[in-house]
Amino acid sequence: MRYRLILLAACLALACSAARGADHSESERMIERYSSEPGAEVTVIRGGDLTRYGLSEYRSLTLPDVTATTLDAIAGAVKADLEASTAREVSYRDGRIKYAFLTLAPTGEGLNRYVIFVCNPAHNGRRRVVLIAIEGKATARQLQNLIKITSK
Amino acid sequence: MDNNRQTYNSPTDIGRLTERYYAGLTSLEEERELRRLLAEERRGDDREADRAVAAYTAMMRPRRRGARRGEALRRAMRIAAAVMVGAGLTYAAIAYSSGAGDECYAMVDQRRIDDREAVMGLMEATLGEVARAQADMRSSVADQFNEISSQL
Repeated sequence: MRYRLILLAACLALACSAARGADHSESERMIERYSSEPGAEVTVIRGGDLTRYGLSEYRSLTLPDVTATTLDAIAGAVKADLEASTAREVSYRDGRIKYAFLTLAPTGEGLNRYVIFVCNPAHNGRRRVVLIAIEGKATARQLQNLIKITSK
Repeated sequence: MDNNRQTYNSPTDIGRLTERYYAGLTSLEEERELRRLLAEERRGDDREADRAVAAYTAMMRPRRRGARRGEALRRAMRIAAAVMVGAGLTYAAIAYSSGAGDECYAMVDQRRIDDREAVMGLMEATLGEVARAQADMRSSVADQFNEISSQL
């Protein structure tokens, strides 16, 4: 009886860990994967000043000069998140995603999740990429307002 | 059916069997019969020492192979469950410690920045870039609507 309880507890622990793992979007994996690229700018903010915006976590990756291979990998991850998203605002140019604001399914703790992708032309025909993963209680509208306010 | 099977019931039979047992002459069948007879409650007889010997030998008798296998399996399951619980708890502890507390840093070309204001400034700059891409997209949509309405 005792070992059955232990097994049950272990299964629950594994299920919880799997659920946590499922919270990571493809774009978040890209942020981790390309964070050490030359020229990469990574920003990680958790808690603290973010809470006043209704956010709990902010992760961004800016690559000023990406190769076609890296761009394809990142765009592929964004497309995968786009397919899994519950709401989206996307624009394309020449068949490629230029801008995407994706709302993903909430985390296990009920926090909203967003992925933002921007791809702009850089020099030498290359691209500048911004990829952001955000978590928090803020709604998509609140987050878009925050973005608008920040730009002023 | 064993037609040669002998039955022992009287105290004389038990005495005879006991003597044969101590002399090492009993068959397995006779030993089983002796244990059965000794196990029957007979107050006032002088077989207590024999009962003690029977109880001791019963205790020391090796268990059936199936029972040993079952016990080994239970032990293996207990160990597996303990390992799983340990792994689950370790993962939970790591996940909790990595998720707990505030964090605020940026990596610019692999150079770490811990100054909170500088990091928030980087976040605002990145969101500003997003805001411009968003404004471009919205103005493009507005242009398309204007074009459509001018055609109507």
